[in-house]
Amino acid sequence: MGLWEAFLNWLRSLFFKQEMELSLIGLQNAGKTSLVNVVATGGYSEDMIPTVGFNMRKVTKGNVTIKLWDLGGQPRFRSMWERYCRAVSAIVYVVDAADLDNLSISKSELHDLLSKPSLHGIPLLVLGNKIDKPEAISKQVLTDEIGLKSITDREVCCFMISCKNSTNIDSVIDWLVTHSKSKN
Amino acid sequence: MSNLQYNRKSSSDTARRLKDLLHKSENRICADCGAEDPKWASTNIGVFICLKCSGAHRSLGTHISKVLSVTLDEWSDDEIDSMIEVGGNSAANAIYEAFLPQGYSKPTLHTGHDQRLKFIRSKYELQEFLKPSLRIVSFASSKSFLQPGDSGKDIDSGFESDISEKTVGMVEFIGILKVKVVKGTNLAIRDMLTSDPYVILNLGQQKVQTTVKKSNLNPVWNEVLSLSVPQRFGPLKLQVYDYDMFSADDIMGEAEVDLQPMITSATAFGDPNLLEDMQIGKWLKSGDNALIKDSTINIVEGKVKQQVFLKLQNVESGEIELELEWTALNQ
Repeated sequence: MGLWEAFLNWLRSLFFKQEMELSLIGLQNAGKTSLVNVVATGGYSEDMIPTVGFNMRKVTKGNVTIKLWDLGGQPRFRSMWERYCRAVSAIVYVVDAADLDNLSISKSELHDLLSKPSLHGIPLLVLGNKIDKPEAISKQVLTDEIGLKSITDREVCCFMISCKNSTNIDSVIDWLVTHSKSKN
Repeated sequence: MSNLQYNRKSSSDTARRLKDLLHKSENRICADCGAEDPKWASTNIGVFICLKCSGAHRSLGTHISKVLSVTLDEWSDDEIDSMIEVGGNSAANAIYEAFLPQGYSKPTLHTGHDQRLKFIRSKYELQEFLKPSLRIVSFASSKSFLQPGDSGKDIDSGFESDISEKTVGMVEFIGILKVKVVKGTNLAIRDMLTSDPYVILNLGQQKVQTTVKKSNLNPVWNEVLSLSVPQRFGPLKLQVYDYDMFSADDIMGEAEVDLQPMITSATAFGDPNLLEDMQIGKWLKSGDNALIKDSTINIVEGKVKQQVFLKLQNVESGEIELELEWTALNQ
């Protein structure tokens, strides 16, 4: 029987692609669109225009296809975040770790979002971006400032990254891939 | 009274049940014009109708209405079952005339043919009086009424069977998608020097298509096709075919459009009539889609619109330009 199961699993891996949907959220200029670019193409550009509404793009890593909803971070769009998060496998929350002034807003927006009943239990990945900058805070400080310890109703993970230098991007992709669920 | 004939193999019990149904008082008048003692029926729609209305039904084609005489035709068990399942004229009209406008005058016994046909077409083919979110999708009607002539021949033979013709299901729709097929550019050659292209759009079971453009590799259609979008929708599938008079039509490429970006963003932004003109989202070109360039979703004068430029796949050349418009139902 074990052999048969192994055979089935092998077949499955051939034919059934894993697929997941993710939404990328965070204040404006946190680096959400840069993260998409670096995950999708490995490229980084200093010169990014603000995302209007959202950008949707698919990224394939191995046999995992990730549909990324990269949402605009301006206050105008924040009330809509919840809509885009309802059906996703995970929420990725990007924080500018070098922008100390906005940490408290970033914290309150995150907790507002997570309080929505429709999003209960959806895993959360928090990314502290821009650690290439000297003023960037540490993971410990970010965890405290954003109040991650108080989130107990879901899986929470945190990485410190730099889209500019591609630091820790591999860890992010690994985390995403292991959280994808089989579509079929 | 009418002497019901039926298939030899059908049980007399089923036949008797049809007779019982016919004799119910609601079925003693034609479902469409109210004429007395209807002796005809549309077996897939499930209504009893008079001779004059049966003529109008027949002209819609059997994919819309399959007409049998109660007295002159042989009925199969399935046809009788489907009549009984609908439950008679009142039950059918409760659906097909649910939203008949106030003061609308239905045809009567004396209404002329043109007027009668117009009503019957509005009622069953265009389903204008149905609750907007509850249009009936018949598998058979996937062969759309927008189809010109016979140019759809052979393409869909794979999924249209006798069995599906009887299958009618109720589907809750969330909105209407209008697709303007703007034009094609540099399409593939399928005849000697040119092609006679037309475009087919599929969404789930629904299929609509443009007219055929004769001998044209850069056709301009500017034709608007409408599709109802169910709760669980897949991609919009587009195919271009070359019309051939004497043989099966040849494929000239295909492409898919993900409708999720437009529908999700329209839902998130709410009533477009309350919004100024603005961009609400963007579907990015990438290796796994057919986009020629990023496709933006905009509010334009209170409407949700998306411009889509597609490179046809599985073909040597060809591009198609579309303009989508989304209208949500029951927001």
